[in-house]
Amino acid sequence: MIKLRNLLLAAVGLTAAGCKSDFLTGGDLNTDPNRPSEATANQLFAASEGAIWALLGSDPARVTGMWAREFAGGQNQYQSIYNYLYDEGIQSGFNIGLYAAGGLVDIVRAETIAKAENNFALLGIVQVQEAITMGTGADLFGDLVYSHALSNEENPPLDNQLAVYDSVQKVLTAAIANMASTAATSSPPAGSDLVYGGDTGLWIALAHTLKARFYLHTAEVRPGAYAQALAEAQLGISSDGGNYFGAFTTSAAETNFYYQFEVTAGRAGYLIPDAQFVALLESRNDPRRAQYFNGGATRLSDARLAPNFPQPFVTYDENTLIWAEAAYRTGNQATALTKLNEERANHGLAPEVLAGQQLLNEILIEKYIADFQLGHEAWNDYKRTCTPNFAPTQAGQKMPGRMYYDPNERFTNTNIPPAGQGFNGSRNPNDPANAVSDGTGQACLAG
Amino acid sequence: MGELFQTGYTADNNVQISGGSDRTNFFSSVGLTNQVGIIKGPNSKYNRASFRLKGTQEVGSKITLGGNFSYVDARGAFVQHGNDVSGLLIGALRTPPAFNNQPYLTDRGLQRVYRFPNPTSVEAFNCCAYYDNPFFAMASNGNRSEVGRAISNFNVDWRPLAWLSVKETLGGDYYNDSRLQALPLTSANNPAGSVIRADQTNLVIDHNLIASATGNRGENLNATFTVGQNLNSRRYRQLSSQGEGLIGPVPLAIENTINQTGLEFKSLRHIESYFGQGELNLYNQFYLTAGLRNDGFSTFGASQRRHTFKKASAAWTFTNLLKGEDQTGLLSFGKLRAAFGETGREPDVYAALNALSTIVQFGSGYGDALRTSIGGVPGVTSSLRLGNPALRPELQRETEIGADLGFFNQKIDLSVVGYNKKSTDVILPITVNSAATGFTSAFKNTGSLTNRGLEISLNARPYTGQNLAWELGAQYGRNRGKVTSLGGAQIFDLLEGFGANEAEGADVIGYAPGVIIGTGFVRCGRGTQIAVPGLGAGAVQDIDALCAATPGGYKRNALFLGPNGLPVADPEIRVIGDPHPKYTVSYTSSLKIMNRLTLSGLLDVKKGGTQYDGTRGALYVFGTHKDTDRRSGTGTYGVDYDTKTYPDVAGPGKGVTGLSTPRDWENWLSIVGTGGGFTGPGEQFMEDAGWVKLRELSLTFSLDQPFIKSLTGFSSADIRIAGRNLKTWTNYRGFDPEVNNAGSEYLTQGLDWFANPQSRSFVLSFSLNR
Repeated sequence: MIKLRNLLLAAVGLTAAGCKSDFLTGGDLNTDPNRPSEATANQLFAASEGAIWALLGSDPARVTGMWAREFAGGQNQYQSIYNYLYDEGIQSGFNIGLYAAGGLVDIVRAETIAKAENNFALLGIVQVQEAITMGTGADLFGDLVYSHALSNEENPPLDNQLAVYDSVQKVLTAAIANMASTAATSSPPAGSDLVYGGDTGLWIALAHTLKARFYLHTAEVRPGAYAQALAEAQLGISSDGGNYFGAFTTSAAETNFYYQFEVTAGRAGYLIPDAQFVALLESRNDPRRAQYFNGGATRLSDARLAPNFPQPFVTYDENTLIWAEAAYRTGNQATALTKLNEERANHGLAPEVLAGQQLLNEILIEKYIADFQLGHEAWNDYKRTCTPNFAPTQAGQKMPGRMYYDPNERFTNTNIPPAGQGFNGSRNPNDPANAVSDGTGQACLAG
Repeated sequence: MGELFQTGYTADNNVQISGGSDRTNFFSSVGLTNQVGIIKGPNSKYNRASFRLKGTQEVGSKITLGGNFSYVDARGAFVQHGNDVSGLLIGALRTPPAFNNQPYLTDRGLQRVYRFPNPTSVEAFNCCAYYDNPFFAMASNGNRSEVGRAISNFNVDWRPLAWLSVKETLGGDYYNDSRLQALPLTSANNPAGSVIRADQTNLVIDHNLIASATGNRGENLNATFTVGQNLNSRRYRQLSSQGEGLIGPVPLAIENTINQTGLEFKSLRHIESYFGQGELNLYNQFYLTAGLRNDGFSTFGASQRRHTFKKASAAWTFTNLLKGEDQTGLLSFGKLRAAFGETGREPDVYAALNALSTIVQFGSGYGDALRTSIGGVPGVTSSLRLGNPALRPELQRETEIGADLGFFNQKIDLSVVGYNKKSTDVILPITVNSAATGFTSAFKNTGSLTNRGLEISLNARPYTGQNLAWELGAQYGRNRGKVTSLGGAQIFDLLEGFGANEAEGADVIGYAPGVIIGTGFVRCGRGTQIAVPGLGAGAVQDIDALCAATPGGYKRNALFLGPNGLPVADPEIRVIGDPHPKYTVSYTSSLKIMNRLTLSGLLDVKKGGTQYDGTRGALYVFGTHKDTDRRSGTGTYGVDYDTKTYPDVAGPGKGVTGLSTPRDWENWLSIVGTGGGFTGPGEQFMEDAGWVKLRELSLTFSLDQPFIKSLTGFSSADIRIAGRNLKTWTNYRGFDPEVNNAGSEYLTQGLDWFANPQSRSFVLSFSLNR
């Protein structure tokens, strides 16, 4: 006979004896022992710096450099890209990079920590990082998810490109105010900041130059932007010591992207100087011809290909020329000429005496030269001014004005149309129509 | 090939001693295996030593204690192979026939390869791409592995009452796997040399406690009820060091490298389960079981930690009803059975957790990369994968129905089983919107798939006598897998293979899991619109209209040929092959003569399934494949070229000879054309990979006559001679249709890229028993 009672007792006894409610929790079971779960704001700031240097110095910059015809494509995929043949892969993951690891998700995380600690200096500096990231994103992609970013909603709507620039300007204004704070809890990331060493004065100047830069990017459709750019440039970077650059080193995976592309990744011959840019530099006897390229104009110069070359991304020269152009556009040719000559003197070039359209043209050509490898500025300025008025690399076609969104973002957001359609085309809808002139009355050939 | 391969041999020696008394039992064995591999040279070998001790002891009348301990030490040296430019076959097969790979070193001691027969320095190798000289690969002693493993358990068997038994097993399994993977200076994969040292340790501790109660009511009702608890702990750790840039040519050790990077990965997982099962045996015919299991996993989030699974089965030996239990007559045995069960699978360790990362790098697909910690400053980012604490177990439900039948006094037994397995909530890494989440992917329960199949096993003993016994068997298996959901996506790329333009493993809706996707040539009947070289100056053509205009009409799916007689590459990625067989059959036969001599054989058959012969495709490009040995002769698609893959053709090129001059052939097959493996679609190299293999033939002599004892001191001896993988019959054109570049870790089969074939072996073994 089955002794039911005894059986039940035995069963209960076993389970009571064996029951360990904490066998499944604790220690390495529910906490990943391989990855950190906390980070300080300084650590997040340091990593986001790398993400920004990549956004301004890795593949997207090489591509926009080719489109702006300062570089040419010598082989394989780069030859196709130079000839305006490209697809959704051209953004190389940098659309997602605006938001994921090192991008907005970590910038916002650092801002939250800085706010909680009342560390206004650090908060301001990280806000500058946010502005560079999203502002450059708007330059490359046009409309962007920004006000709905990191909201975890399905199909987040995109902000209009101009709305993104407006938000960026607000963030920079807040950043400047924060960095100027004298609160005792303000502690800039001196040890983590390889560019400015935590000097908030230099960061504030950078923020003003960035404001000027992004005002210029809206100037084609907003006439008042030049005056705003002028006001900001006057408070911007005032010497070469205030340049924002990538603090690369000679250690592996810490080196300059152009060096890596040419040497470590073995792509020598893909990215070569564009003949029309070399000719321009030589015709003006510009000393930067030797600084940028080697003697035979087959590659970058030895200095620029050094593994630890401190690649400039936002410079004093750029600020001076923004000042010059904005002054001209708001009617002050005297200041425009002074500033132009100031920038020329910085490179050992004799001062010039010009007026009217010739002066503007000279400012714009000088800027084109100074913009070399400066993020995407040569391309951004060309889109706005069509100067120099170079020929397209493919007869009858126009230079691309934007990059397509990442296909994975498109698959997971119904608001983004397929590549080539709607606002996901080869020009931003916010850019004026193609038939723009170069200011001297000639039609724009490639823009 | 004769210079690279040799006949390897294995010597396997084993001694087993067992004994005991009426209350004690023990068993011990010691074994030693020494193997020299089939690749020539000192670096293809494997040695293993093992030791085992097992014993049981009765204590009192109700308790039996048992213990088991074994230790294995295995060491091997290997030569790199497969899709590896420093591997054996890529260099060997791509070498042009006119180049002699011997000597493999120049007189200055540098490697001599067909692309640089006269190298000047180690640095000179940095400039360009090349493949290692196979003799150089064979001479490298940089690939070694040492594994030590200890498995032990302790068990207690307690019968406190006649109807109650309690059993406890506590076991541990520990292994340490030390590996060296090094490339010497001038290796094609890394001319500066590199050394990777990795140590993995894994410890599993398992506790299992079961109590069983049996009862009966008369003869016709027997019941058993079992409850149990299982606790399982798995601790894994891998510590590795990667050294880049050898300083001196030897030794291949971390201290001899310029830069070192260290990495560590640890994980710990626990499972806590409780289970209960009841079994009922009625009238000696009906056998019913039902069970419930509650599993708790530490790898799930807090809200999903425990889950319950059920199972049940029923079986009816209906012949016991019809005629009692003697197994005689035409239908001597018959049993019907059905079973249903559920199991749950846990996700990858730490998939439910969110954590930060120190290893994200910023850069592009060209290989430029910037780490997060630069210039000695620490940098941390979010991980790219979003942790999902709401992950549930992958649920697998299986239903099985079968019959076991015996005929002719059990001379023949037949077993037929059909099963239907449904997997739901399959855990897959799914792309998430980065703008909305700040991450690129997350694990989610979104997949589902089914596997349906049939297994039939037939054994026959046509003659069983004193001096002769003959047994035959056949096992047939057929499985149809189908992916039914991938979380909204049509294709889930497993990313195992050679790029989705050539051939890659993927899960595709409507197909079995792990099919091969790639590109193919343009075909008729698909509505393709594409530009055709030689037609309309680059304007897009309507392919179906061109096919319809072919004189003689066209078959659906016919290969489209442009006006130059050659097909056109179709960039759309689609399923190009399925490596799964239609069915597999194994035939066995065993003949025992005079109770002394046993002759047996095994024939394996795999029918159906296609495989990507990437080796052939690549060798077309290099011009070292026999097919490229064409000094004359023309090739016309649809008539005499590749007609097995493309029997039907249509379009303006039908009948046009596309390949006439040697220049035509070279342009088509090399890197500028689409007829070869690097730039051409992978579909061309999909081949029927069905095979029949004579897997084994063996002859065993058993000797137990008195003279054995007086001669050797042992009471009996067995001598066995066997051959394995003796012959293969197949239409597959590569070395072996049974290879797989992806190995056994990945879901994808059917990819062959310079993989080593299986080996044929002959075994002679002696065993002496006392």
